[in-house]
Amino acid sequence: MKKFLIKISLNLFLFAILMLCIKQTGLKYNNNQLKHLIKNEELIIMGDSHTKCAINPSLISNSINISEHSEPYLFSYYKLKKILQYNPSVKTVILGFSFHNLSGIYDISNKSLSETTVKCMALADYEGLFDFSNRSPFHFAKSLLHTTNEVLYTLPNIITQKKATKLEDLEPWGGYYPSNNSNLNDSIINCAILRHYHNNPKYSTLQIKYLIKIIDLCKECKIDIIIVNTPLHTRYSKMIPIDFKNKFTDILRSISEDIIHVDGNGLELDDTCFGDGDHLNKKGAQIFTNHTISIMNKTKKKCNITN
Amino acid sequence: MLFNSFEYVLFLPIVFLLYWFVFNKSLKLQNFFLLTVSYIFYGWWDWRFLSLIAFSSLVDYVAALKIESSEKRNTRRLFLTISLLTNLGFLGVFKYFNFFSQSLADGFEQLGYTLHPLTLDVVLPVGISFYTFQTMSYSIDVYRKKLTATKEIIDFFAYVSFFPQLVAGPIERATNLLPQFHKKRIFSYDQGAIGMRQILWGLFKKMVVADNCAVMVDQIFDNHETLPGSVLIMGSIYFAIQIYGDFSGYSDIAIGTARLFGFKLMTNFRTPYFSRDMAEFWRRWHISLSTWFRDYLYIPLGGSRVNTQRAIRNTFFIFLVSGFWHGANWTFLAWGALNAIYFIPLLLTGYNRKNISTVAENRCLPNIKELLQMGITFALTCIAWVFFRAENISTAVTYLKGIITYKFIPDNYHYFHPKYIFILAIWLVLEWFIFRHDDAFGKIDLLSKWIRRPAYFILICITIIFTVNEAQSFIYFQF
Repeated sequence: MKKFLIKISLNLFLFAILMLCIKQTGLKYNNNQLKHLIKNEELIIMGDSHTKCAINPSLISNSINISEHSEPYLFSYYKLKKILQYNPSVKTVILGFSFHNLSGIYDISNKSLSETTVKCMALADYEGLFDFSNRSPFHFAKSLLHTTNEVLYTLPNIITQKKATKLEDLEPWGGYYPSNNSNLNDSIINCAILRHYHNNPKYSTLQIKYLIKIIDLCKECKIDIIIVNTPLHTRYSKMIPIDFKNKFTDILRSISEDIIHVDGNGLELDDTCFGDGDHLNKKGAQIFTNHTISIMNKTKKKCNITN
Repeated sequence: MLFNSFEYVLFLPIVFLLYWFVFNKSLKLQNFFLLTVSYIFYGWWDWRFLSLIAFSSLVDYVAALKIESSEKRNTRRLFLTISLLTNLGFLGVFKYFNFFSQSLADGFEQLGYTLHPLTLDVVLPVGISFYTFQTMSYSIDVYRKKLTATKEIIDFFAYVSFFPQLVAGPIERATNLLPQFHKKRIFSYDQGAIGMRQILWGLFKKMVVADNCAVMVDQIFDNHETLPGSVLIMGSIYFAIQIYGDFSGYSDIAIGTARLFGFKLMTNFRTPYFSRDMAEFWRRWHISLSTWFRDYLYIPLGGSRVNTQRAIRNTFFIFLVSGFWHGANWTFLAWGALNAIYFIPLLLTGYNRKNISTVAENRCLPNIKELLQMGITFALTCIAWVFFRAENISTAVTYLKGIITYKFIPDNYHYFHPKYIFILAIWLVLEWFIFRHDDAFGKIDLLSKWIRRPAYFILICITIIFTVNEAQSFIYFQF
């Protein structure tokens, strides 16, 4: 028994050391790549798939879109922190904030980890991981295990010293997605509504906490923050529960002092501008990006338009 | 609690240490501890169903004692019937009631009468088919005087609910497992090491092979109407490997875990996809269930030592019951019937016991003939698996028709992604070169530690890298 326990412990210890080495090497590799890829962008577009599909950075000079599918604010916060570490010239942050961002699904995500969330984990520090795990040591250990998994994925790149040529190539940095879809299928819309608004818990406390942390970080670094609610199709928006809309309005009111709010739902867009009920396609993104630029210009947050 | 969950990663070492260091003072205490942790393990899903196991165990415990104490044939038969009816009654209510009710209504509808079927809104208790079969074998063996009824109630309850094999087998016979509860267990380093290796290999088969194949299988079966023939063929291969990885992976983890506690469970799979004919396949696939049906159903019916007509009837009956054991759906019956059709020609020509030894036993690679035989057998099982996986018979038929009707070459190679091919290649190589041989987990010791240790690390790394993010349940839990 003694021999068995010693051997098992020794192997586990060696394995843990190996994992730690891989994790540290992976993080170092990611940081080096990031340093090399980040230019002097002055405007950063952040959020989840809504901003990923809705704002085309090529229309705004000196800007970058780093939105990623299903990204929680917790990871947007850590991404922003990391970017500011390497790029002090950031002047403006555009952050997506819509009704679904309050969804309780973000608080239960540690039980059903999406691929994106796992990729994001490699970035968060231990406090962030602990927060993400509902401050439960049990879930925290589970998150750590998944982080190691993600770092192991980058192992082939580390070994071959493969260099990413753009930020989008480096997980989990995301980027603009020019969607060619135009599918306003009822079942897709119903599915999204169910996923976004019918969860237990109903609202995410983690999302609200990190939304405020992002705003505070921007204020601290004297960065202008613009909140955008990307356009939703009327068939989708009609199905959003009224209490979600009220909660959204309350939060917006409480955070939006000195903050510009761009509400895409004021825009009149026809069906051909939507990829599905809650995402714009390439055509919609062109219109909405120009709309955002015009609002920014009106409110003196001047930005150059690339033709 | 799932074997591939984080909860189990904590549960197993805690139970292991308490078992060997705290509760090792007496056998009774150790068995009581095993019973408690087994109930915790099962109750993790739904504690309400613990009452079913407890009740089933109690009925069989009492029935077996009564059977043994009575010399009167009628009394013995009465208590055996009570035991069988209780267990089959549970299965009937929880697993088959809705199926029969709905089928009856459908049958009447065909005749022009509309019936509103009475259905029960009940959840199928995890592993019910496994533990009911295990307890039934105990009562039958006592009735047949092959086994003495135990008076140790804790030992018996622990045998029924022994956590490593409780929810998905192997379906252990009381003649093998129960005596192990009566004897003092001694930890052996070799058995512990073999157990750990078997757990690791089981986790690899489940978390890497089965769960990754499942991703492809779900996509292909959900969209089979629009996919080309080559993709549909690949879909059936993925499913064949998924179900094998899933179920044999579970069995390996169960057997490995039991070894850590000083128990030896029966082998449940012996690389069945390297079989040269369907009879060999059935000697290597889900052995604990096949032998259960053989001993308690097939042989009492006369087996193959009867006239041709009855031999065909018996074979068909056994395969249909085996299909029905898996689930209350016509697809499982079709799967069973198809396997009977594959098996009967071998039985009638006397070829059913032709391939007894392991393929290419003292050789590194199979010869052309063996390769061809294995290919044909695998293809036949893949066709049958389509029925097993499909939601209904018509879907299975459409799927199989699609293989030959639609275009064959795919527009893109999404379903042949190198990641999946790589996983399958690793599995195939290890399965052929190492696990095809008897006592493979023990023979690994013959390798130098400088080969073994890095190999374990690599296997663990591959398991972590390729594991699907969320812990997937085991397919056989639903049976």
